[in-house]
Amino acid sequence: MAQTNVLAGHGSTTNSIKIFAGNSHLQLAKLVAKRLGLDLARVAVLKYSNQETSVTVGESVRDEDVFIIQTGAGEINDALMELLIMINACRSASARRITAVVPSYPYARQDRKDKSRAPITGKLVANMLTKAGCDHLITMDLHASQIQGFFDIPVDNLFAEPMMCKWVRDNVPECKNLDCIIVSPDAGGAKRAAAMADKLGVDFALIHKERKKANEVSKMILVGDVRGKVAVLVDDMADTCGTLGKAAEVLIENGATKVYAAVTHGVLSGKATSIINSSPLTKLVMTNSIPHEDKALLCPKIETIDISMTLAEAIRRTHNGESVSYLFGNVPDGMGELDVVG
Amino acid sequence: MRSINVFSGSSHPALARSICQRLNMPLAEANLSKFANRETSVEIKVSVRQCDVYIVQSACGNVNDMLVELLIMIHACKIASARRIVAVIPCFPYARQPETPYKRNGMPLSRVPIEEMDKFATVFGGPSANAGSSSSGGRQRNTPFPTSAANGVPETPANGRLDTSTLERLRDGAVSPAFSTPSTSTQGSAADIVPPESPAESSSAISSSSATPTPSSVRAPGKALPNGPLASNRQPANISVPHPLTHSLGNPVSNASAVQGLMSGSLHVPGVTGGGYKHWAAKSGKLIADLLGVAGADHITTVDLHDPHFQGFFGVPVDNLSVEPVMVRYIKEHFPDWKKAVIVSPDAGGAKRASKIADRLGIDFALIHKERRHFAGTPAVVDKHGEGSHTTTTVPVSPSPITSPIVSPLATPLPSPSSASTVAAASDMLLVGSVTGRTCILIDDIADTSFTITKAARTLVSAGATKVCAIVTHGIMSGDAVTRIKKSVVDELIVSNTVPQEEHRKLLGDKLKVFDVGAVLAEAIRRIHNGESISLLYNNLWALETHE
Repeated sequence: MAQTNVLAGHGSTTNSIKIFAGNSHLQLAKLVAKRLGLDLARVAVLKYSNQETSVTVGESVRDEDVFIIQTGAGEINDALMELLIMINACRSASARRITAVVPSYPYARQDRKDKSRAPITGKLVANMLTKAGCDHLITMDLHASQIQGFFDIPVDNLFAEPMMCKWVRDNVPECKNLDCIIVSPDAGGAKRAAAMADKLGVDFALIHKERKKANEVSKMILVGDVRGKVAVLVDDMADTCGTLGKAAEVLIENGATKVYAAVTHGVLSGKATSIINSSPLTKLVMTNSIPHEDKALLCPKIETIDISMTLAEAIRRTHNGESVSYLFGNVPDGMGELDVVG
Repeated sequence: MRSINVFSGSSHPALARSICQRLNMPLAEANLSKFANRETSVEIKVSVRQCDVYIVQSACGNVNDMLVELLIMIHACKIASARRIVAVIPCFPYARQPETPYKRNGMPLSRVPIEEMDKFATVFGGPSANAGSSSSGGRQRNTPFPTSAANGVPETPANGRLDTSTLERLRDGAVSPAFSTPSTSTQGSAADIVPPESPAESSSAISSSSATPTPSSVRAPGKALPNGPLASNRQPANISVPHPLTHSLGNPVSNASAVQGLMSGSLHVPGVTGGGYKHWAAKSGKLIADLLGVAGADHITTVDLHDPHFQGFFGVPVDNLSVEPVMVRYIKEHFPDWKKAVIVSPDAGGAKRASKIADRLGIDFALIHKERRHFAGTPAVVDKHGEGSHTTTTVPVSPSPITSPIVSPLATPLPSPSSASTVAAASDMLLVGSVTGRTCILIDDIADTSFTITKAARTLVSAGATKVCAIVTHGIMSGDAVTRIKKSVVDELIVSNTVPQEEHRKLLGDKLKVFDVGAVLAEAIRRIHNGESISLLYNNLWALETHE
């Protein structure tokens, strides 16, 4: 079968591209590779009997453009070590450039010293990635975009916003007659939600909460008017979902007809699925930056947006030296046309 | 003591407490846990501004978790303005650098169950990678590695590339490609070999100067395949070898169809390492050293580093403490007939370590040497003990009798240790030295899977030793190593507490004795803090208490 090689072979032996995948999200990596018309490069990432990670590279990467797809999910420390060792292995094997594709950046929430002696682990991870030999980082919807400043190497912080907007336009019919409102579940995400509201041309509201303990929410106050409208909660991460669940209740109490939630990174740890199931949310839409098939089985409200096309486009443009800024405002073509195998 | 704080990671708090007790100071408080999403959470509860901070963390249990926790603690102290941060890592992670993807005995990789091979589909053409793909070949393999990786010969060239020298040799007929039946030890592989299509091109395809890749027809380079020992029972396919000068080898995707025939079988080109890429396992030692440095460690203290050259990987000072004085003292105190005992090294690599102890004690020294059989796939090799050849496809499940020039083969087989890895038995153990009627003391630095120690013990007993004890610095004992030790002929296993031993003690009972390295570490910390020399610690003249 003739494969359309998206990488537009020059015909000569210019250095090609190798895509490696760690264990954290093999499925996404396969999708990305498929969109690029490539196979994933051969690597075995396993564990020794004493739990040390073992990386065995099965192909030459000398003078190649290497992309390593690994996300911060599941056993995050294992995923991080796998990524670091793979980067280091490719570096010492004379790869020309190593790009880490990390859709969900690990430890992104520890991004500042908000109390005494708190570690800025996001900075530590940045240091570790750079030291291991990473030359470039591609990530999506960083918890704080200032994390790009932690790095001395170039960082591409892609946005899920175009895909979220597309989903809302396609799936929330009230959006057309502007009976829809974008709501941010906390003050920190106001900017993100407002940008999306502007793009869709709808109104914007905000929920302000006071936190007592970490991952425990207390009072929530709605700022804005949601009466008679369909509310779409927008956030970058859904972890324990305490916030989302409570926010949905507050919105229904204040007169919203339906509540959707659109979240980029769906961590869904602990009792998150049961909280979502028992909440008034109609649907929870997440990207597949973090694998969640098992959670989706437990929670029928979950819908997944596939980011593999965006990542594949970013990889292609990075490799060919083209501008990536198109992806900041547009959804790349070819979304939803792929027959996902396996 | 002012301005010093000793923190403990979550790997071995008991050792940290023992150290603090000797230093007569409390353990500094820190909350270590995990967030809901499995990220590590570190909260340092005391001020460390302008303090000397010592963080005690050993590489045991889930090594990656321990390592990341240590890095985050170091980083937290660094940005909290600590004066100096010393990482005390009694058992150092990733200290061993494997040469091959896995060894046949010792350090086996965790095997992925066949049902879960889907997750590792990218590994060397596993089942899922073959859905419609071409360059990864049509082989369905259920093992993490091609079988012949055991002897370092990869099955096929990766991604359809052949290096020029192999191509030329194939083309000139100097070497005949031979097909062997894909390893019978993996299920279902024979049936999955893609039969090659009938040749549609003439031999001019090879010498034509077409720039396009040759089609998927396959053809032998004009020479009949021999029926020699390397030929297999199945009909070998013909191969078309793209001429290196007329064919672009660069683009793996467009080249894939041309080498479909090559990829579909197992290509053994004798005398050449498969003509392709040799798989290699990443050596992470330098990376770990870099990570510790970048996190902000100013000083590293460790115990019996597996490879002393590691110290050169660091940009910061490393104290590689030795428990040798403690071992010497232990032997003198607990072995009444130590003057007539023999110190034995279970492998050639540890000879230096064991002989040093033997010299200190002034007693005899012996060595066990593992004779490895290389290239077990080639039947032409007859092993020197005349047992006939071994192939990797017929792995003896029960251990082969241990033979050596000095010792006669066993009359009755010894009980074999329960082994998770069935490939263990293919090497012979040779004893160099005499142990008849003596107490043997095996000395090693790490006991992980414990294959080395248990096999060495068997060798010694069959050579006439009366008692076999093993003194090991790091008793990691992962997997079912403890059961293996329990069933082995080792009479006593003495380990240090660089790695927590409570769980092992429950299973081994009296067979396990633990000596405390807290004294050595506490003394080192005290001297580092006060700016005194620690070279005394490398000397065996100083007094130490040994606990059980």
